[in-house]
Amino acid sequence: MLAAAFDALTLVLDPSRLVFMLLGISVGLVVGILPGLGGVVGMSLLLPFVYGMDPHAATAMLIGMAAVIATADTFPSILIGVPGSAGSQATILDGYPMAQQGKAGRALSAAFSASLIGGLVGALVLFAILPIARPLVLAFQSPHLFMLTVLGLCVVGLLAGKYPFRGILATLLGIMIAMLGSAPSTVTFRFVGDSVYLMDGIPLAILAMGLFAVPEIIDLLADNRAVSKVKEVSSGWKDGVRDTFRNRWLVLRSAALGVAVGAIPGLGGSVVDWLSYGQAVQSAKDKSGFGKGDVRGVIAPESSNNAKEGGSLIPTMLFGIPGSGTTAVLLGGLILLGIQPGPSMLTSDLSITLTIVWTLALANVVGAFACFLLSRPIARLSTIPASKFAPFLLIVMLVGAYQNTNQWGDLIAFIVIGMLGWLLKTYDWPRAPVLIGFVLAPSIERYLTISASRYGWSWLADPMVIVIGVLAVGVVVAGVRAKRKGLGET
Amino acid sequence: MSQRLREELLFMAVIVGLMIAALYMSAGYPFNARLMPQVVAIAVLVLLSVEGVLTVRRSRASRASGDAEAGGEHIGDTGNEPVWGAKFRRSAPYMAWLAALYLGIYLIGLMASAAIFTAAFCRLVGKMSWLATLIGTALLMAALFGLTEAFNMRWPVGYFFDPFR
Repeated sequence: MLAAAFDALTLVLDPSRLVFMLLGISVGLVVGILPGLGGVVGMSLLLPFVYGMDPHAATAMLIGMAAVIATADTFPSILIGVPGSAGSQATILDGYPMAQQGKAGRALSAAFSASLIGGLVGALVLFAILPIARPLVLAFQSPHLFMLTVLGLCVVGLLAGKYPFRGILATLLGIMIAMLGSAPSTVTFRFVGDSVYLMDGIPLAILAMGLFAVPEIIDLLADNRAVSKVKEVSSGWKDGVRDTFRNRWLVLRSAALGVAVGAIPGLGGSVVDWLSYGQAVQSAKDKSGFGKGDVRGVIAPESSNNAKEGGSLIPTMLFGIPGSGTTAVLLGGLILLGIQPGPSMLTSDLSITLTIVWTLALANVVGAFACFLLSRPIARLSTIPASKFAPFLLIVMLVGAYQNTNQWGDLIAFIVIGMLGWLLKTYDWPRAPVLIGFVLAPSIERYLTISASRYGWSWLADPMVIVIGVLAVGVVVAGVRAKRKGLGET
Repeated sequence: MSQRLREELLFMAVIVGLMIAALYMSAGYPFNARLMPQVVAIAVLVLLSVEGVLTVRRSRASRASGDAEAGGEHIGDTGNEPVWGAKFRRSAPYMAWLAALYLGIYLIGLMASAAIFTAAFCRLVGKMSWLATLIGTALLMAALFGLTEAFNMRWPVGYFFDPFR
């Protein structure tokens, strides 16, 4: 494994690939800095360009982008009190008051150093888990993988959004959208009518951009999000780094929590920072400063939201179950590159897996240092109102959309799905499960077909299938009850 | 029944209609092709009926408690004003810009439309200076031309003419 790891490092450090990782990191920094845009938008922007690329370079670019968003999204959270992405909401509670007190530099440096350590812990855990997971993953057969996928979808559906049934319905809608086009194992085109464009189905990049980017841009513009003046970020940098090392156990604890939460499909993203913030408050002796500008309230969420990236890659790569919208698009990207997530990630595609681990670690280091070095211009960038960057982003997205099949259908599908995404967002329907359902639909159908053709119906009596099935039902029942309690329903 | 609830139920009714259409259309497919869509469509219909009931109950409960936020009515909406309507009114101008961009692409192609759209949006909505607008637009166009050359990309051409063809 170590020899393979060094081989992978050589691949990543090859200049022809390194440049793509740096490109991904640059995109990730910009996407993270611009409020409202997150990993899915960034992934979707890059996805159309991975066609035909060297798999190692392409994965380095995608992972490089995803890894640094959690670092860069700190700028808007601390400087203007607007979350850069879903995982940096809790940072606002103490980061923004610190900025208002003139301690923006200290808050940012504490956040970047905590992000760096958190990201490295995430990559390390991912690497450490590979040899342990290898025999476990290889023991799974098609029926088990089918049931695991169903379980993953149930968990994702339940945990995404406010209402449990809407989450599950959203995953099913995603699966249904994936049914458009040719059916596997038969020569049948489903629900396409006379449309030649739909015969190949809706491209993933278009679905992702339409669902996430279009509604976000329209809402950012509609809200006329005014951005406040740049705060002073020139002082307190050393203090922030010292704060991180003074609270090293909090950093490590938060990182461990981030990895664990990230590994649970559907949980990651928007809750990891709050959970981490909660444990920071609970474990603190003096709680009086929290919410008023306590640096521990910045360190904990920032460490965990970078570490969660490593955690979320565990189910994505080893079981083919993406834990979030970002990893769902990544999964689609891997499939586009001819890489099938699952047991093969530990055998024939081990070098890709290790490339991902190295990229995750390197991108966190490069991203954190870039944020340190470029903090002043980046701080100004984070204050750009949506009305100034929206036209550029929109054109880039349209260009990206059109590269999928070079047909007008791409542009029409982009806008139709964009409007669907806007409606889902308006009515509090979670959108990430739609994407995850869409990505997992071919796997579910394939696992089911293989199970049925190879084992008949006897696979339903397999003990592991029964255990996972019972677990799925238990998760649904418990999740629905918990959410109903949370909503105050009877 | 509140306007918000009516809108939500209408949205769900559209999904119901689509699922029924999917069931009807898939009936003629071979077994392997129809199994998955039919299972999913039936599951959606069952879950949607449960969600419909829960949505009505939530709406009634929130009205009884007077808790507008819990009922899904966004802060800033006045009284019984429809969420969709309020949000749509704020979003409509930007949707119109998007529609204009699409019309432009259809008529004169992507490259020319992108230049006009970007410059117009930066000036009229972004309130950017002429210099910033021109620099931003020029950089975007340079990037598009660069991508065209580097990756041999193709763009939608206009129905009538495309100055960049």
